[in-house]
Amino acid sequence: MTAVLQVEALDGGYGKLTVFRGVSLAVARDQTLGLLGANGAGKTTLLKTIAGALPSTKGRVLLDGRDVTRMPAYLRARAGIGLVPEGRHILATLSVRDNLALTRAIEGHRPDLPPFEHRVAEVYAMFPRLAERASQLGGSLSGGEQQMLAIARALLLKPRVLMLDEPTQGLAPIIVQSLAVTLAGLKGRFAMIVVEQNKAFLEQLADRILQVRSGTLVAADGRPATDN
Amino acid sequence: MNLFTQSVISGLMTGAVYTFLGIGLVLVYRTARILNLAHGETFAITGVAAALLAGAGLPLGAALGLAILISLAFATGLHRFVLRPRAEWPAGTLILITLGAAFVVRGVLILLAGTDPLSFPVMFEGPPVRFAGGAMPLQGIALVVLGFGVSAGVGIFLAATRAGKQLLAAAENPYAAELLGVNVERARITAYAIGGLLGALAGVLLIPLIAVDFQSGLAMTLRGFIAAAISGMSPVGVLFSGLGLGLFEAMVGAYLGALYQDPVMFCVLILVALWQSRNIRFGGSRRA
Ligand SMILES: Nc1ncnc2c1ncn2[C@@H]1O[C@H](COP(=O)(O)OP(=O)(O)OP(=O)(O)O)[C@@H](O)[C@H]1O
Ligand SMILES: [Mg+2]
Repeated sequence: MTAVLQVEALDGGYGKLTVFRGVSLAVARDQTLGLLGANGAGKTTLLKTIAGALPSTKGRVLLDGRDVTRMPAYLRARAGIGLVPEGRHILATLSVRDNLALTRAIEGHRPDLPPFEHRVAEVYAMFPRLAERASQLGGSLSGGEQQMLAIARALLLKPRVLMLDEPTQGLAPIIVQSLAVTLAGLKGRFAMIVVEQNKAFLEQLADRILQVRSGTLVAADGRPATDN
Repeated sequence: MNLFTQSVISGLMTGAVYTFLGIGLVLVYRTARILNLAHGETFAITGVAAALLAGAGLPLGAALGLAILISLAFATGLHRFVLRPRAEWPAGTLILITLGAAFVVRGVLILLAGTDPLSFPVMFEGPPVRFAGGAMPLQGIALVVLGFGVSAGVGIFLAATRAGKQLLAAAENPYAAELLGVNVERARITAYAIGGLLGALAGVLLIPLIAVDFQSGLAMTLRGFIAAAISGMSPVGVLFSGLGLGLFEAMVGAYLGALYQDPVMFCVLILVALWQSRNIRFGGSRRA
Protein backbone atom coordinates (compact mmCIF):
# COMPACT_ATOMS: atom_id res chain seq x y z
CA MET A 1 0.00 0.00 0.00
CA THR A 2 1.31 3.46 -0.84
CA ALA A 3 0.14 5.60 2.01
CA VAL A 4 -0.49 9.32 1.52
CA LEU A 5 -0.40 9.85 5.25
CA GLN A 6 1.68 7.73 7.52
CA VAL A 7 1.86 8.25 11.28
CA GLU A 8 4.57 6.32 13.08
CA ALA A 9 4.59 5.74 16.85
CA LEU A 10 3.39 9.27 17.54
CA ASP A 11 3.13 10.72 21.07
CA GLY A 12 1.48 14.05 21.77
CA GLY A 13 -0.39 16.17 24.28
CA TYR A 14 -0.25 19.49 26.04
CA GLY A 15 3.07 20.40 27.63
CA LYS A 16 3.93 17.70 30.12
CA LEU A 17 0.54 16.01 29.75
CA THR A 18 0.76 13.17 27.22
CA VAL A 19 -2.70 12.58 25.74
CA PHE A 20 -1.93 9.87 23.16
CA ARG A 21 0.93 7.39 22.90
CA GLY A 22 2.47 5.23 20.20
CA VAL A 23 -0.18 5.97 17.59
CA SER A 24 0.60 4.44 14.20
CA LEU A 25 -1.69 4.58 11.22
CA ALA A 26 -1.52 4.75 7.46
CA VAL A 27 -4.12 5.93 4.98
CA ALA A 28 -3.94 5.19 1.28
CA ARG A 29 -4.77 7.89 -1.23
CA ASP A 30 -8.29 6.67 -1.94
CA GLN A 31 -9.07 5.35 1.51
CA THR A 32 -11.35 6.66 4.28
CA LEU A 33 -10.41 5.85 7.84
CA GLY A 34 -12.96 6.25 10.62
CA LEU A 35 -11.96 6.97 14.22
CA LEU A 36 -14.36 6.33 17.07
CA GLY A 37 -13.76 7.12 20.70
CA ALA A 38 -15.30 8.39 23.91
CA ASN A 39 -15.17 12.00 25.05
CA GLY A 40 -11.68 12.90 26.14
CA ALA A 41 -10.08 9.88 24.46
CA GLY A 42 -7.68 12.14 22.57
CA LYS A 43 -9.16 12.22 19.05
CA THR A 44 -9.02 15.97 18.63
CA THR A 45 -5.54 16.13 20.10
CA LEU A 46 -4.37 13.50 17.61
CA LEU A 47 -5.81 15.31 14.58
CA LYS A 48 -4.40 18.64 15.72
CA THR A 49 -1.00 17.05 16.12
CA ILE A 50 -1.13 15.49 12.65
CA ALA A 51 -2.11 18.93 11.29
CA GLY A 52 0.85 20.50 13.09
CA ALA A 53 -1.18 22.77 15.37
CA LEU A 54 0.21 20.90 18.39
CA PRO A 55 3.78 19.61 18.71
CA SER A 56 4.42 15.89 18.90
CA THR A 57 6.92 14.61 21.45
CA LYS A 58 7.84 11.34 19.75
CA GLY A 59 7.35 9.59 16.43
CA ARG A 60 6.93 10.86 12.90
CA VAL A 61 4.29 12.13 10.49
CA LEU A 62 4.90 11.47 6.78
CA LEU A 63 2.98 13.04 3.92
CA ASP A 64 3.58 11.25 0.62
CA GLY A 65 6.65 9.74 2.23
CA ARG A 66 8.04 13.15 3.20
CA ASP A 67 8.74 13.74 6.89
CA VAL A 68 6.63 16.73 7.99
CA THR A 69 6.99 16.16 11.74
CA ARG A 70 8.80 19.47 12.29
CA MET A 71 6.77 21.47 9.80
CA PRO A 72 4.51 24.24 11.17
CA ALA A 73 0.77 23.91 10.65
CA TYR A 74 0.45 26.53 7.92
CA LEU A 75 3.04 24.75 5.77
CA ARG A 76 1.35 21.40 6.31
CA ALA A 77 -1.91 22.99 5.20
CA ARG A 78 -0.20 24.28 2.07
CA ALA A 79 1.36 20.85 1.50
CA GLY A 80 -2.07 19.21 1.54
CA ILE A 81 -3.07 18.27 5.09
CA GLY A 82 -6.57 19.67 5.51
CA LEU A 83 -8.35 19.70 8.87
CA VAL A 84 -11.99 20.61 9.39
CA PRO A 85 -11.60 21.35 13.08
CA GLU A 86 -13.91 20.49 15.91
CA GLY A 87 -16.13 23.52 16.47
CA ARG A 88 -15.60 24.64 12.85
CA HIS A 89 -13.62 27.78 13.65
CA ILE A 90 -15.27 29.97 11.06
CA LEU A 91 -13.79 33.47 10.91
CA ALA A 92 -16.84 35.32 12.15
CA THR A 93 -15.75 38.82 11.12
CA LEU A 94 -14.83 37.86 7.57
CA SER A 95 -17.32 37.21 4.78
CA VAL A 96 -17.94 33.71 3.48
CA ARG A 97 -15.96 34.58 0.38
CA ASP A 98 -13.05 35.95 2.40
CA ASN A 99 -13.08 32.83 4.56
CA LEU A 100 -12.65 30.82 1.37
CA ALA A 101 -10.10 33.21 -0.10
CA LEU A 102 -7.72 32.70 2.84
CA THR A 103 -6.84 29.36 1.28
CA ARG A 104 -5.18 31.22 -1.58
CA ALA A 105 -2.15 30.94 0.67
CA ILE A 106 -1.51 27.65 -1.13
CA GLU A 107 -0.95 29.44 -4.45
CA GLY A 108 2.63 29.04 -5.54
CA HIS A 109 3.07 26.00 -3.33
CA ARG A 110 1.09 23.50 -5.40
CA PRO A 111 1.50 22.49 -9.00
CA ASP A 112 -1.25 22.86 -11.62
CA LEU A 113 -3.71 24.95 -9.64
CA PRO A 114 -6.61 26.21 -11.72
CA PRO A 115 -7.44 29.91 -11.19
CA PHE A 116 -9.04 30.70 -7.83
CA GLU A 117 -12.36 31.60 -9.47
CA HIS A 118 -12.60 28.11 -10.93
CA ARG A 119 -11.71 26.49 -7.63
CA VAL A 120 -14.35 28.52 -5.79
CA ALA A 121 -16.97 27.80 -8.45
CA GLU A 122 -16.37 24.13 -7.85
CA VAL A 123 -17.09 24.31 -4.11
CA TYR A 124 -20.05 26.65 -4.71
CA ALA A 125 -21.47 23.99 -7.02
CA MET A 126 -21.17 21.51 -4.19
CA PHE A 127 -22.62 23.91 -1.58
CA PRO A 128 -24.96 26.32 -3.43
CA ARG A 129 -26.01 27.74 -0.06
CA LEU A 130 -22.53 29.24 0.34
CA ALA A 131 -22.74 30.93 -3.05
CA GLU A 132 -26.00 32.59 -2.00
CA ARG A 133 -24.38 33.83 1.19
CA ALA A 134 -20.99 34.71 -0.26
CA SER A 135 -20.95 38.27 1.04
CA GLN A 136 -22.53 37.47 4.41
CA LEU A 137 -20.27 37.43 7.49
CA GLY A 138 -19.11 33.99 8.61
CA GLY A 139 -20.51 34.62 12.09
CA SER A 140 -24.02 35.06 10.72
CA LEU A 141 -24.28 31.57 9.21
CA SER A 142 -26.33 28.79 10.78
CA GLY A 143 -24.52 25.83 12.28
CA GLY A 144 -25.08 23.67 9.23
CA GLU A 145 -23.93 26.42 6.89
CA GLN A 146 -20.84 26.94 9.01
CA GLN A 147 -20.03 23.24 8.70
CA MET A 148 -20.41 23.53 4.92
CA LEU A 149 -18.07 26.52 4.92
CA ALA A 150 -15.53 24.70 7.08
CA ILE A 151 -15.55 21.77 4.67
CA ALA A 152 -15.46 24.04 1.62
CA ARG A 153 -12.42 25.84 3.00
CA ALA A 154 -10.59 22.58 3.58
CA LEU A 155 -11.47 21.41 0.06
CA LEU A 156 -9.97 24.58 -1.38
CA LEU A 157 -6.66 23.53 0.16
CA LYS A 158 -6.69 20.73 -2.46
CA PRO A 159 -6.00 18.27 0.35
CA ARG A 160 -3.96 15.13 -0.11
CA VAL A 161 -5.56 14.01 3.12
CA LEU A 162 -8.72 15.56 4.56
CA MET A 163 -9.40 15.16 8.27
CA LEU A 164 -12.82 15.93 9.72
CA ASP A 165 -13.29 16.23 13.49
CA GLU A 166 -16.88 15.38 14.48
CA PRO A 167 -18.50 16.92 11.40
CA THR A 168 -22.03 15.95 12.51
CA GLN A 169 -21.80 17.61 15.91
CA GLY A 170 -24.79 19.84 16.55
CA LEU A 171 -26.46 19.20 13.19
CA ALA A 172 -30.09 18.18 12.69
CA PRO A 173 -30.57 14.56 11.48
CA ILE A 174 -31.63 15.65 8.01
CA ILE A 175 -28.50 17.76 7.61
CA VAL A 176 -26.38 14.89 8.91
CA GLN A 177 -27.85 12.78 6.14
CA SER A 178 -27.03 15.29 3.43
CA LEU A 179 -23.52 15.66 4.88
CA ALA A 180 -23.11 11.89 4.62
CA VAL A 181 -24.07 12.10 0.95
CA THR A 182 -21.64 14.96 0.34
CA LEU A 183 -18.76 13.18 2.02
CA ALA A 184 -19.58 9.91 0.25
CA GLY A 185 -19.27 11.87 -3.00
CA LEU A 186 -15.77 12.96 -2.02
CA LYS A 187 -14.67 9.48 -1.08
CA GLY A 188 -11.82 8.19 -3.15
CA ARG A 189 -10.73 11.64 -4.39
CA PHE A 190 -8.21 11.92 -1.56
CA ALA A 191 -7.43 10.18 1.70
CA MET A 192 -9.83 10.96 4.54
CA ILE A 193 -9.82 10.55 8.30
CA VAL A 194 -13.21 11.06 9.92
CA VAL A 195 -13.56 11.32 13.68
CA GLU A 196 -17.11 10.69 14.89
CA GLN A 197 -19.11 9.61 17.90
CA ASN A 198 -21.94 8.80 15.54
CA LYS A 199 -21.12 5.18 14.74
CA ALA A 200 -23.82 4.70 12.13
CA PHE A 201 -22.58 7.74 10.21
CA LEU A 202 -19.05 6.39 10.28
CA GLU A 203 -20.08 2.90 9.15
CA GLN A 204 -21.75 4.43 6.10
CA LEU A 205 -18.61 6.27 5.15
CA ALA A 206 -15.42 4.59 6.31
CA ASP A 207 -13.50 1.77 4.66
CA ARG A 208 -12.28 0.73 8.06
CA ILE A 209 -12.81 1.95 11.59
CA LEU A 210 -10.38 2.18 14.48
CA GLN A 211 -11.03 3.20 18.06
CA VAL A 212 -9.16 5.72 20.14
CA ARG A 213 -9.18 4.42 23.68
CA SER A 214 -7.47 6.59 26.31
CA GLY A 215 -4.85 7.75 23.88
CA THR A 216 -4.05 4.55 22.04
CA LEU A 217 -5.39 3.15 18.81
CA VAL A 218 -7.23 -0.17 18.92
CA ALA A 219 -9.20 -2.10 16.31
CA ALA A 220 -12.96 -1.70 16.38
CA ASP A 221 -13.31 -5.07 18.08
CA GLY A 222 -11.04 -3.91 20.89
CA ARG A 223 -7.88 -5.81 19.91
CA PRO A 224 -4.65 -3.78 19.53
CA ALA A 225 -4.58 -2.19 16.08
CA THR A 226 -1.86 -3.61 13.86
CA ASP A 227 -2.17 -0.83 11.37
CA ASN A 228 0.19 -0.15 8.46
CA MET B 1 -5.11 85.21 17.36
CA ASN B 2 -8.28 83.24 17.85
CA LEU B 3 -7.95 80.83 20.77
CA PHE B 4 -10.58 78.45 19.49
CA THR B 5 -9.15 78.15 15.97
CA GLN B 6 -5.68 77.76 17.34
CA SER B 7 -6.84 74.96 19.65
CA VAL B 8 -8.57 73.19 16.80
CA ILE B 9 -5.33 73.38 14.81
CA SER B 10 -3.22 71.99 17.61
CA GLY B 11 -5.91 69.42 18.36
CA LEU B 12 -5.86 68.21 14.78
CA MET B 13 -2.10 67.80 14.93
CA THR B 14 -2.01 65.89 18.20
CA GLY B 15 -5.10 63.96 17.12
CA ALA B 16 -3.23 62.76 14.04
CA VAL B 17 -0.38 61.63 16.28
CA TYR B 18 -2.72 59.77 18.62
CA THR B 19 -4.30 58.05 15.65
CA PHE B 20 -0.87 57.06 14.35
CA LEU B 21 0.02 55.55 17.72
CA GLY B 22 -3.39 54.06 18.40
CA ILE B 23 -3.38 52.05 15.16
CA GLY B 24 -0.12 50.34 16.04
CA LEU B 25 -1.40 49.47 19.50
CA VAL B 26 -4.64 48.07 18.07
CA LEU B 27 -2.93 45.95 15.40
CA VAL B 28 -0.47 44.44 17.86
CA TYR B 29 -3.16 43.91 20.47
CA ARG B 30 -5.37 42.10 17.99
CA THR B 31 -2.78 39.95 16.22
CA ALA B 32 -0.24 39.19 18.96
CA ARG B 33 -2.75 39.69 21.82
CA ILE B 34 -0.40 41.88 23.75
CA LEU B 35 -0.92 45.37 25.08
CA ASN B 36 2.46 46.77 24.07
CA LEU B 37 3.38 49.46 26.60
CA ALA B 38 6.68 50.02 24.78
CA HIS B 39 4.82 51.12 21.67
CA GLY B 40 5.26 54.87 22.26
CA GLU B 41 9.02 54.33 22.46
CA THR B 42 9.02 54.07 18.67
CA PHE B 43 8.11 57.77 18.72
CA ALA B 44 10.83 58.68 21.22
CA ILE B 45 13.51 56.50 19.62
CA THR B 46 12.86 58.02 16.21
CA GLY B 47 12.97 61.54 17.60
CA VAL B 48 16.15 61.13 19.60
CA ALA B 49 17.90 59.20 16.84
CA ALA B 50 16.94 61.78 14.22
CA ALA B 51 18.07 64.66 16.44
CA LEU B 52 21.42 63.04 17.22
CA LEU B 53 22.09 61.98 13.64
CA ALA B 54 21.09 65.36 12.20
CA GLY B 55 23.15 67.03 14.94
CA ALA B 56 26.14 64.93 13.92
CA GLY B 57 25.96 66.45 10.47
CA LEU B 58 23.99 63.86 8.51
CA PRO B 59 21.65 65.34 5.88
CA LEU B 60 18.12 65.62 7.29
CA GLY B 61 16.62 63.08 4.90
CA ALA B 62 19.24 60.47 5.74
CA ALA B 63 18.90 61.12 9.47
CA LEU B 64 15.13 60.70 9.32
CA GLY B 65 15.34 57.58 7.17
CA LEU B 66 17.85 55.97 9.48
CA ALA B 67 15.82 56.93 12.56
CA ILE B 68 12.72 55.34 11.06
CA LEU B 69 14.68 52.14 10.38
CA ILE B 70 15.90 52.06 13.98
CA SER B 71 12.31 52.37 15.21
CA LEU B 72 11.24 49.58 12.87
CA ALA B 73 14.05 47.36 14.13
CA PHE B 74 13.04 48.09 17.73
CA ALA B 75 9.36 47.27 17.18
CA THR B 76 9.94 44.03 15.30
CA GLY B 77 12.92 43.02 17.45
CA LEU B 78 10.87 43.43 20.62
CA HIS B 79 8.43 40.90 19.22
CA ARG B 80 10.92 38.52 17.66
CA PHE B 81 13.53 38.34 20.41
CA VAL B 82 11.72 39.30 23.61
CA LEU B 83 8.01 38.52 23.41
CA ARG B 84 7.68 35.66 20.93
CA PRO B 85 10.03 33.28 22.75
CA ARG B 86 7.77 33.80 25.79
CA ALA B 87 4.45 33.44 23.97
CA GLU B 88 3.23 30.87 26.48
CA TRP B 89 3.70 33.21 29.44
CA PRO B 90 0.66 34.82 31.07
CA ALA B 91 -0.51 37.94 29.27
CA GLY B 92 -0.11 40.05 32.43
CA THR B 93 3.55 39.12 32.66
CA LEU B 94 4.12 39.97 29.03
CA ILE B 95 2.55 43.39 29.54
CA LEU B 96 4.99 43.98 32.39
CA ILE B 97 7.83 42.93 30.10
CA THR B 98 6.77 45.56 27.56
CA LEU B 99 6.70 48.12 30.37
CA GLY B 100 10.20 47.00 31.34
CA ALA B 101 11.28 47.41 27.73
CA ALA B 102 9.90 50.96 27.76
CA PHE B 103 12.04 51.79 30.80
CA VAL B 104 15.11 50.21 29.23
CA VAL B 105 14.60 52.46 26.21
CA ARG B 106 14.27 55.46 28.56
CA GLY B 107 17.57 54.59 30.18
CA VAL B 108 19.34 54.17 26.87
CA LEU B 109 17.94 57.48 25.62
CA ILE B 110 19.22 59.26 28.75
CA LEU B 111 22.65 57.70 28.29
CA LEU B 112 22.80 58.69 24.63
CA ALA B 113 21.17 62.10 24.72
CA GLY B 114 20.91 63.29 28.31
CA THR B 115 17.74 64.62 29.86
CA ASP B 116 17.31 67.85 27.90
CA PRO B 117 14.66 68.06 25.19
CA LEU B 118 15.98 67.61 21.64
CA SER B 119 14.62 68.51 18.27
CA PHE B 120 15.52 68.63 14.61
CA PRO B 121 14.51 70.76 11.62
CA VAL B 122 11.14 70.45 9.94
CA MET B 123 10.85 68.68 6.58
CA PHE B 124 8.29 71.10 5.20
CA GLU B 125 9.62 74.66 5.46
CA GLY B 126 7.71 77.81 4.76
CA PRO B 127 5.49 80.43 6.35
CA PRO B 128 2.53 79.07 8.32
CA VAL B 129 -0.86 79.04 6.65
CA ARG B 130 -3.20 81.55 8.31
CA PHE B 131 -6.97 81.18 8.42
CA ALA B 132 -9.87 82.10 10.68
CA GLY B 133 -7.57 83.76 13.16
CA GLY B 134 -5.21 80.82 13.52
CA ALA B 135 -1.88 79.75 12.06
CA MET B 136 -0.84 76.28 11.04
CA PRO B 137 2.75 75.43 10.15
CA LEU B 138 3.27 73.59 6.87
CA GLN B 139 4.75 70.70 8.80
CA GLY B 140 1.53 70.56 10.84
CA ILE B 141 -0.57 70.39 7.70
CA ALA B 142 1.62 67.55 6.45
CA LEU B 143 1.21 65.83 9.80
CA VAL B 144 -2.58 66.02 9.69
CA VAL B 145 -2.88 65.05 6.02
CA LEU B 146 -0.41 62.17 6.32
CA GLY B 147 -1.74 61.12 9.72
CA PHE B 148 -5.28 60.61 8.57
CA GLY B 149 -4.29 59.58 5.06
CA VAL B 150 -1.95 56.84 6.22
CA SER B 151 -4.43 55.70 8.85
CA ALA B 152 -7.15 55.41 6.24
CA GLY B 153 -4.62 53.57 4.09
CA VAL B 154 -4.10 51.01 6.84
CA GLY B 155 -7.88 50.58 7.04
CA ILE B 156 -8.01 49.93 3.30
CA PHE B 157 -5.06 47.54 3.54
CA LEU B 158 -6.93 45.51 6.16
CA ALA B 159 -10.29 45.51 4.43
CA ALA B 160 -9.29 45.13 0.80
CA THR B 161 -5.98 43.32 0.39
CA ARG B 162 -5.13 39.68 0.77
CA ALA B 163 -2.33 40.35 3.25
CA GLY B 164 -4.68 42.58 5.23
CA LYS B 165 -7.35 39.91 5.46
CA GLN B 166 -4.74 37.37 6.49
CA LEU B 167 -3.78 39.76 9.27
CA LEU B 168 -7.42 40.11 10.38
CA ALA B 169 -7.89 36.34 10.28
CA ALA B 170 -4.73 35.75 12.30
CA ALA B 171 -6.01 38.34 14.78
CA GLU B 172 -9.46 36.82 15.15
CA ASN B 173 -8.50 33.15 15.30
CA PRO B 174 -4.86 32.17 14.81
CA TYR B 175 -5.71 28.45 14.91
CA ALA B 176 -8.25 28.70 12.11
CA ALA B 177 -5.92 30.93 10.10
CA GLU B 178 -2.96 28.55 10.25
CA LEU B 179 -5.14 25.58 9.29
CA LEU B 180 -5.96 27.53 6.13
CA GLY B 181 -2.30 28.04 5.27
CA VAL B 182 -1.90 31.54 6.71
CA ASN B 183 1.50 32.31 8.18
CA VAL B 184 0.28 33.72 11.49
CA GLU B 185 3.76 34.62 12.66
CA ARG B 186 4.29 36.77 9.59
CA ALA B 187 0.98 38.51 10.22
CA ARG B 188 2.13 39.33 13.74
CA ILE B 189 5.49 40.71 12.69
CA THR B 190 3.66 42.76 10.04
CA ALA B 191 1.48 44.24 12.78
CA TYR B 192 4.54 45.22 14.83
CA ALA B 193 6.24 46.63 11.72
CA ILE B 194 3.23 48.78 10.80
CA GLY B 195 3.11 49.97 14.40
CA GLY B 196 6.82 50.80 14.42
CA LEU B 197 6.55 52.63 11.13
CA LEU B 198 3.54 54.72 12.16
CA GLY B 199 5.10 55.57 15.54
CA ALA B 200 8.22 56.67 13.72
CA LEU B 201 6.26 58.76 11.20
CA ALA B 202 4.46 60.47 14.07
CA GLY B 203 7.84 61.31 15.60
CA VAL B 204 9.36 62.57 12.38
CA LEU B 205 6.41 64.88 11.75
CA LEU B 206 5.51 66.12 15.23
CA ILE B 207 8.83 66.40 17.06
CA PRO B 208 10.19 69.36 15.03
CA LEU B 209 7.11 71.29 16.21
CA ILE B 210 7.52 70.40 19.88
CA ALA B 211 10.55 68.48 21.12
CA VAL B 212 11.35 65.04 22.38
CA ASP B 213 13.01 63.77 25.52
CA PHE B 214 13.44 60.47 27.29
CA GLN B 215 9.95 60.68 28.81
CA SER B 216 8.03 61.14 25.57
CA GLY B 217 7.51 57.44 24.88
CA LEU B 218 5.24 56.52 27.75
CA ALA B 219 3.24 59.73 27.33
CA MET B 220 2.61 58.71 23.72
CA THR B 221 1.74 55.13 24.67
CA LEU B 222 -0.79 56.49 27.13
CA ARG B 223 -2.46 58.78 24.61
CA GLY B 224 -2.42 56.15 21.91
CA PHE B 225 -3.92 53.65 24.30
CA ILE B 226 -6.76 55.96 25.33
CA ALA B 227 -7.59 56.52 21.66
CA ALA B 228 -7.37 52.79 20.96
CA ALA B 229 -9.52 51.86 23.96
CA ILE B 230 -12.23 54.42 23.13
CA SER B 231 -12.50 52.83 19.69
CA GLY B 232 -12.88 49.39 21.26
CA MET B 233 -9.53 48.38 19.74
CA SER B 234 -10.85 48.93 16.22
CA PRO B 235 -8.20 49.83 13.62
CA VAL B 236 -10.70 52.01 11.76
CA GLY B 237 -12.49 53.47 14.77
CA VAL B 238 -9.21 54.73 16.22
CA LEU B 239 -9.04 57.25 13.38
CA PHE B 240 -12.02 59.03 14.88
CA SER B 241 -11.24 58.49 18.55
CA GLY B 242 -7.68 59.76 18.03
CA LEU B 243 -8.97 62.89 16.36
CA GLY B 244 -11.57 63.45 19.07
CA LEU B 245 -9.05 62.91 21.81
CA GLY B 246 -6.58 65.37 20.26
CA LEU B 247 -9.26 68.05 19.96
CA PHE B 248 -10.48 67.42 23.49
CA GLU B 249 -6.99 67.67 24.94
CA ALA B 250 -6.30 70.89 23.05
CA MET B 251 -9.53 72.43 24.33
CA VAL B 252 -8.67 71.44 27.90
CA GLY B 253 -5.27 73.09 27.44
CA ALA B 254 -6.77 76.23 25.96
CA TYR B 255 -9.67 76.80 28.30
CA LEU B 256 -8.53 75.21 31.58
CA GLY B 257 -4.79 75.59 31.20
CA ALA B 258 -1.93 73.35 30.15
CA LEU B 259 -1.49 72.15 33.73
CA TYR B 260 -4.86 70.43 33.57
CA GLN B 261 -4.05 68.37 30.50
CA ASP B 262 -2.33 65.47 32.23
CA PRO B 263 -4.79 65.06 35.13
CA VAL B 264 -7.76 65.31 32.79
CA MET B 265 -6.24 62.75 30.41
CA PHE B 266 -5.65 60.35 33.30
CA CYS B 267 -9.28 60.76 34.34
CA VAL B 268 -10.33 59.99 30.77
CA LEU B 269 -8.10 56.91 30.89
CA ILE B 270 -9.77 55.68 34.08
CA LEU B 271 -13.26 56.31 32.71
CA VAL B 272 -12.44 54.56 29.44
CA ALA B 273 -10.92 51.63 31.29
CA LEU B 274 -14.05 51.27 33.42
CA TRP B 275 -16.32 51.63 30.42
CA GLN B 276 -14.43 49.23 28.14
CA SER B 277 -13.28 46.74 30.78
CA ARG B 278 -15.89 44.27 29.64
CA ASN B 279 -14.85 44.47 25.99
CA ILE B 280 -11.09 44.58 26.23
CA ARG B 281 -9.50 41.68 27.97
CA PHE B 282 -5.87 41.84 28.91
CA GLY B 283 -5.32 38.24 29.76
CA GLY B 284 -8.37 36.19 29.02
CA SER B 285 -8.17 35.62 25.30
CA ARG B 286 -6.28 32.83 23.62
CA ARG B 287 -2.86 33.67 22.35
CA ALA B 288 -2.07 30.37 20.63
N1 LIG C 1 -5.81 22.73 25.75
C1 LIG C 1 -5.68 21.66 26.56
N2 LIG C 1 -4.84 21.68 27.60
C2 LIG C 1 -4.71 20.61 28.41
N3 LIG C 1 -5.40 19.48 28.26
C3 LIG C 1 -6.27 19.39 27.25
C4 LIG C 1 -6.45 20.48 26.34
N4 LIG C 1 -7.38 20.11 25.43
C5 LIG C 1 -7.75 18.85 25.75
N5 LIG C 1 -7.08 18.42 26.84
C6 LIG C 1 -7.21 17.10 27.46
O1 LIG C 1 -6.76 16.13 26.55
C7 LIG C 1 -7.58 14.98 26.63
C8 LIG C 1 -8.08 14.61 25.24
O2 LIG C 1 -8.86 15.67 24.72
P1 LIG C 1 -9.42 15.67 23.24
O3 LIG C 1 -10.05 16.97 22.99
O4 LIG C 1 -8.33 15.23 22.33
O5 LIG C 1 -10.51 14.51 23.32
P2 LIG C 1 -11.55 14.05 22.23
O6 LIG C 1 -11.34 12.58 22.05
O7 LIG C 1 -11.49 14.90 21.03
O8 LIG C 1 -12.91 14.28 23.00
P3 LIG C 1 -14.35 14.78 22.46
O9 LIG C 1 -15.01 13.59 21.90
O10 LIG C 1 -15.03 15.26 23.69
O11 LIG C 1 -14.11 15.85 21.45
C9 LIG C 1 -8.71 15.31 27.59
O12 LIG C 1 -8.44 14.69 28.80
C10 LIG C 1 -8.65 16.79 27.74
O13 LIG C 1 -8.99 17.18 29.05
MG1 LIG D 1 -12.73 16.16 20.16
